[in-house]
Amino acid sequence: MTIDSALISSEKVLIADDDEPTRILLRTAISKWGYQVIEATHGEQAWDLLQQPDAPKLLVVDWLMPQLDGLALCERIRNQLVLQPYIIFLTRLSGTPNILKGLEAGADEFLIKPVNYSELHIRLLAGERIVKYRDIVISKNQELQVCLTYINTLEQLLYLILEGKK
Amino acid sequence: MINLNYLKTIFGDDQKEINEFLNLFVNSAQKSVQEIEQATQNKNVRLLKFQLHKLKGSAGNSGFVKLADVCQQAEDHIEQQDWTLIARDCLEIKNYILRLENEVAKKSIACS
Repeated sequence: MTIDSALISSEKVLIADDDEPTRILLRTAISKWGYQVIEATHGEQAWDLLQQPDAPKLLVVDWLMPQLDGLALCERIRNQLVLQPYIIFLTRLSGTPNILKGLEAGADEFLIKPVNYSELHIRLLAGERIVKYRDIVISKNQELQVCLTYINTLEQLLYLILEGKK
Repeated sequence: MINLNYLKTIFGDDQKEINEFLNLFVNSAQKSVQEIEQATQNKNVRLLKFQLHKLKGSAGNSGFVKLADVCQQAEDHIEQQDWTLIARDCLEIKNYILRLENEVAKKSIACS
């Protein structure tokens, strides 16, 4: 697995899969691409990790897991999290109805197992790019809110000054 | 049986790391086989489907295509509710894991 240095990242990736060998394979590959890897063995654990401060912004999730499966986890993320991770679904459940089910639940990408690692890497890079743009939009929105508050204050001051001159 | 070229694309040439992974896979698969056997005896379709699907995914991701195929075959037989064929598939899975265990043990001895 040769790695172009331009493709190395420092973003965190959360792997949610109940199968230990699969987690090891994913962890080995993903950390070689420079990502920090965090692991969850079921959906509830992944959900807890996603609510921590500085939570991972990229999620690689298996469909069938105990406690809370990947589909239910996606739905919960889309319904309850403000800052949502980029979700890559990994499953052996192929076929259009399953793909649609996964995407409808809120997955951004859908990859069929066994994992094609080159494809996974490209999807992670795409996810990282989208998350970065989203963060820029959020940050610019916050700046705009500050400016708007400032403009409103100035407007009120101007109004008071003009009122005083009457 | 072991797709070394595939594992090398992930672990590189680190034979020790590959052996550790193979031992872990065998242990994990043995646990799955126990669950599969129990679910077959109890005719617990839900648990059997879950365990077979899990082992199929694990095997496929780890380069054991033949094992993944047998798991798929067993899943198909569950749909047909053919318990004779399911029992035969389970035996095939068990024997595969046994042969794999021996092969991994030989590899580990050769490397030590």
